[in-house]
Amino acid sequence: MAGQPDLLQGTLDVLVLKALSWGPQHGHAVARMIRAATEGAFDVLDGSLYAALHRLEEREWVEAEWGLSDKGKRAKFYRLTPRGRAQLRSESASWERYAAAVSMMLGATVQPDAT
Amino acid sequence: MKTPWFRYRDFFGSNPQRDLTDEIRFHVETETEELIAAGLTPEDARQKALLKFGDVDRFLAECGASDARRLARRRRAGLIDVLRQDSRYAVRSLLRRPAFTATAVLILAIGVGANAAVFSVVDHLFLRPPAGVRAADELRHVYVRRTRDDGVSSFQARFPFAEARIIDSAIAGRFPSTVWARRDLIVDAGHGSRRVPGAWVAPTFFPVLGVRLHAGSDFSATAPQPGEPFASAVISWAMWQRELAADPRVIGRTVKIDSQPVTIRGIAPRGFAGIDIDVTDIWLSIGGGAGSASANRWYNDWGTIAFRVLARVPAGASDDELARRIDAGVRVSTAAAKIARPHVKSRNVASHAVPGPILGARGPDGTTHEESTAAVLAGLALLLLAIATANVANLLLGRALDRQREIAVRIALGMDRLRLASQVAIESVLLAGAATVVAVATTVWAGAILRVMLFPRTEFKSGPLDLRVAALALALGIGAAIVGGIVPLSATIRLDLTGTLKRGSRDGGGRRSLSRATLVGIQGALSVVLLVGTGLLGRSLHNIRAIDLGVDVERLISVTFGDRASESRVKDVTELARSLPGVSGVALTAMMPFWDQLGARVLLTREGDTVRTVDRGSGYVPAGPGYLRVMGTNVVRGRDFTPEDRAGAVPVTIVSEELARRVWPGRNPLGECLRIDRQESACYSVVGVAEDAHAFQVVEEPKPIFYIPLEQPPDPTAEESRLRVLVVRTSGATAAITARLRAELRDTATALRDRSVIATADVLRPQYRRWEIGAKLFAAFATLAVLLAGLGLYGVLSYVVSQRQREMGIRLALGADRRRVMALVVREGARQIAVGAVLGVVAALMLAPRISGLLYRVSPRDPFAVGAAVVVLVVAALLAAMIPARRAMAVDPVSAMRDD
Repeated sequence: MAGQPDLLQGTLDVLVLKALSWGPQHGHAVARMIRAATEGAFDVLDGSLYAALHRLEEREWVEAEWGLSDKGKRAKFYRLTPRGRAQLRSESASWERYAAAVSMMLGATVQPDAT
Repeated sequence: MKTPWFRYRDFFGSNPQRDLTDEIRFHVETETEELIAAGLTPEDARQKALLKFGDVDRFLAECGASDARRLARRRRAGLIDVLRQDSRYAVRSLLRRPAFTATAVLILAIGVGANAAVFSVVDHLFLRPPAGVRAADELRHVYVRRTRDDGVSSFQARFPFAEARIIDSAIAGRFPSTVWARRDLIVDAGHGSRRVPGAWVAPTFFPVLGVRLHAGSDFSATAPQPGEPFASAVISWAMWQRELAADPRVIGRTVKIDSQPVTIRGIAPRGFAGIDIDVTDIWLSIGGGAGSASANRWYNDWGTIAFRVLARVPAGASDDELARRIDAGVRVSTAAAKIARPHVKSRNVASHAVPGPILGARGPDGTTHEESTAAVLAGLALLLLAIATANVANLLLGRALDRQREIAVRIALGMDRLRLASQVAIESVLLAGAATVVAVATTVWAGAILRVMLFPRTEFKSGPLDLRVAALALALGIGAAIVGGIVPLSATIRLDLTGTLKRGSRDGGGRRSLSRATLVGIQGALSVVLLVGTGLLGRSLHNIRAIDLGVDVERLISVTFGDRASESRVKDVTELARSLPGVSGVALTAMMPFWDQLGARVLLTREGDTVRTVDRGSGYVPAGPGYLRVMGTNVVRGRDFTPEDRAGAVPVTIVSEELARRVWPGRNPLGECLRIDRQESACYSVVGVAEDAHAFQVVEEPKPIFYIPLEQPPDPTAEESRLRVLVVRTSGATAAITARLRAELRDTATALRDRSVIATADVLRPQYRRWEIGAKLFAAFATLAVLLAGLGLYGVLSYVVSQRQREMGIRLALGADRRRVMALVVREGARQIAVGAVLGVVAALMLAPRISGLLYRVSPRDPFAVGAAVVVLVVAALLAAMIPARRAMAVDPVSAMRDD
């Protein structure tokens, strides 16, 4: 796992917001979703993930409530706030622009004009 | 999830630390279970789950900090929410009772506004250095503490010019220093002569103060040499604007000052109006003064004590050194004075220099009338604020009592008492805020009026309202609201629940109306204090007006001629004045009554072979024929001067009763002989005794005065013997004749431009004015106080009546006389006021000596003033009690009893 790219804090935040965009989840489920969706491309410590969740809660992008998990255990569920949803929208848009720009350059077959 | 429940859980019962550990535990357990399901042993699964989680301590720290921040913010938001809710509630409940709210705001505004207005004045007098002066805290006025042979010591702030100059030069080597004197001047800038507040200043005056002129140059470059006339003047920016149309070409122009041509050399910068509380409009350089005999009188006379010495103590220098140098100067000048006036024996045995601050009000020599007025005024304003506060406390308490039942219900339903108290407090603060706004708004004009009334000659550096005043008003308003709110607040907190709910609001508050009665009593007491003050000042004013000046001021006009007016010119004007209809007499003298300084002379008599100095400070009045008759001063023994008492005839004099009492106690002065200043002076034979006449002040001790015929001056060569002033006595009002004389003199053209026509009453009016102002101010404050106290009493009694309506209904139903029910209410009011009146009288007797400086011939414990104060308060109280009493009388027994 060593040598894999470090996940920037901001990127992790977006991933968490995205994971919550399907509905309220507890932290473990969020971790599982990110791991599954990125097919293990990022190695995220679960602790960092929880730090992100609390950070987002402090920014009021997500809010939390204690509830019961599928197995009937007491768990803390997070959900997006309207502000969090707006944040996710703007972050995804800028990420897409960034990714498009990077892949355009990397996918170029003709030397770009240097003037 | 945005439910209130969520919020309240944050407030109470949430435990962030436990929540965090629960969260980790859930995660690790779930992960472990999944790994076990994937085939790991429980041991390995747990190991791996923990490994994947990472540093648990770091997680706890990071997330814990984040949670703590979030919760703190939420708690703040919650508190603000509660405050906002309570404020909204308070505003609504205040608006629901507009009469109550308006009354409370008005009362507080009166108290706060009075203080703000007074503070804006006091601040200026006592707290602020003069404007336009560089580093005013470095400046020192020289004071010398003199101790006499009888042990009495006093501070001297003004010195004879010669002494001031000696002190100045003793300081000058080490400290920048200057000499100045205040002096009103008669200025004619081209449209009639006018009295202008002025000052004589040494050439160093402006540089030492660090004042850079707006235009032109000050006196430091080319000081007039001793012997030169006052050749040049600096005028204030205000005077330049007001009287010279802000014309920049005014520099170099000549105006007439004390009938002398003087060139305007410079214009002072805007905002600089001298360094004492009265504004200065014109500064003359101190030169020699040969050109002006009236100036000579000031200068060369060790008995004319007018000059102040001002020094700058720069950083690093010490006041002690300054004091040492002043002391050295004083020693030199004492020696010089002995040489100059060998016949005068000083009674001073010790003197000690004390450098004092530039602000006169804070000097070591005590305060002037104006300054003590301001101090007393501050006291009055605070008294009024105390009354207003008591009154508002009363209103708020009444309101709290009205709402007792509502509040009891709310507490019973579980409302926090502290939250209730905070609502009451918020209400007080809102009232205070509104009152402060009203007060600050009115201060703008109230302060302006106060200033014009009290200090007509002071130029204030800022408007009546500035940040300091507004801040003070706000502080006082909130302070008053808090003090006024304490009583109702404690009533709310201590509310007896079951009792109140059981009793119902109608019969509530037996003990509470006791505290309301106390508040009314306090207001009554404070009102009495103000009323007593009003009575004392009113009596003083009456006494002042009744003073027999020994001069018929109301029917007197004086015409001052310049030093260079020729004899024929004086004669022409005299004949002209005599010929005017409405003029009943004219006479010549050498001094403008109540204006010019009397020359102080030393009188000697010869008894047998010994020459005796009989009096040192006698005032000399040169009097032409008919002078005493024109002035309205009666000759009580002997004869008046006649035209025969001319140069060459036997020298004669008329002495005042006071002089006669001092020099020849118990003897007939007629025929005695007076010598003036020198042993070898001619012998003036006393031919008459005149009643004592005031010379300068409305309030002054009788001064020894002697009159000498104009043509028999003791020192014919002195310049002052050439000065001429015409006094004109009218048979009716002076205004018409003054105008007529001015017009006539102008008509008779060029030869007579040196005139200065002034009604003597106008000269004296400012002296009466300050007594009038004192009385008026006290009266205004007392009126407000009595009004407030009356309102307070009215409020309490109305409340009592509404509370006891049922009881009264029963009394009436049982056949009680309606008038007795009314008397019941009046008696209730009388009791409260009586207690207040007694307390007030005690307080007034204790406080009154503090204003004895503002009183004239009235004991501070004048029984008449005290009695009148009590009567006024009682009458006001009866009037206030009347309305509720009549309402009680009109109670309809049936409806009163049914209505519960």
